Amino acid sequence: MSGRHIDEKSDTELHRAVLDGSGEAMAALYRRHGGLVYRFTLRMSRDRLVAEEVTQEVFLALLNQADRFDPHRAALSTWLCGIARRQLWKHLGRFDSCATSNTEDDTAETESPDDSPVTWLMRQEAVAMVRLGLEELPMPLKEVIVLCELEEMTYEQAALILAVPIGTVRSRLHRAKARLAALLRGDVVSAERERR
Amino acid sequence: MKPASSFSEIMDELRCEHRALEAPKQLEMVLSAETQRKAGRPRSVVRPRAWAWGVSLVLLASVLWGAAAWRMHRVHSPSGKQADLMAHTMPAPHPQPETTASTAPAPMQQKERSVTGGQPTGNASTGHARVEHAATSMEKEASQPNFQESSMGDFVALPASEGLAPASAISLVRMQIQQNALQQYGFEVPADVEPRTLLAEFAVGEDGLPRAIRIIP
Repeated sequence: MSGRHIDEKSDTELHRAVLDGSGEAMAALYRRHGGLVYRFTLRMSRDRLVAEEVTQEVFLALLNQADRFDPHRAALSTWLCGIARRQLWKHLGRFDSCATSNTEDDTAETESPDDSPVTWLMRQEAVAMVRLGLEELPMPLKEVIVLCELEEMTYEQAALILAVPIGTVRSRLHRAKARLAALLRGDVVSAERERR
Repeated sequence: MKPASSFSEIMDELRCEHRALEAPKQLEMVLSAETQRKAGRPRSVVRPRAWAWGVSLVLLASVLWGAAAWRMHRVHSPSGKQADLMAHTMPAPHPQPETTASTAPAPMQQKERSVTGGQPTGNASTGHARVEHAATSMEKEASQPNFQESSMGDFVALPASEGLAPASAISLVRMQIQQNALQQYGFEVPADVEPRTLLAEFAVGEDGLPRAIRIIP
């Protein structure tokens, strides 16, 4: 199987190939979905090591609990995220994760050349504030905003991953956004006050 | 900066930042190697099926062995031999091994068989008794021993079984019967015989009709 060919295969085909012992198929699945799992676990745990460990456990579950995956019920990415979430909760329960964020320094900063330095600075402050606000959200609200806003999943997918009704996903997302927006409004108000 | 628009812009920026994160490359190698390593071992999905097949085979073998043992036992046991023998040589009458009460008495002699006299309950007598059976019957009639003597422990062909097709399989049915009930199988029971209950074993054909009887001492 050539690399290009294997990357064109569907998740179900790759999953079957993984069960037949294809390391290439596993690598292809990891390239396709590893980022999603890793980002989700990293954002939730704020710990790079935990995120790596959980990501590895999730893909090993694909090998060891293969019979639990039903392609008719959920997409593979959704299933993987569901496992990631459960593994993460185990970790957080075990280590009472108070890990400090070590991702702050690595985050990519986007520049908008059209903005003036002051506007750019204000914008970066606002971004930092929302980022911080996101990190400090309660877990149930945080996971909803990560999945629906940052990963742009549908409500249905998020509901499957979180094992809650769609209505719950909607209400949690609404509450999370309201909190972040409130943070931002406070920041804008204080910025305007400073400007005056 | 308007708060409403800036929030969505900020979320866009956070999304870009979030999506820029990539999964660690080294895990790809680890998982690939683990997959290949695991392929060398039997999968857990397969194991229960193998167990199920194994258990089924063992059960099947047990059943076959049991059947063979039973057959061997039947062939080697004297009563089994006799029953088989009779099944091949003997026609049959009507069974009805009933334990009906009666007061008929003692020593019995096997009745000389006649086509009509040997049929206790009618419809079993088909009239097309085989020639070979008739011949053996004639011989038996000539030297018919006393029932009480011969029947103790040995199977005796029922007179009423005459005319039945040979049985391909014989079952043994043990039951208690009144002595005078032997009349319905074609045996002659004197009227003055003292009433008593006998333990008897019937050789019954696959058609449910008895072919022979043995009185158990």
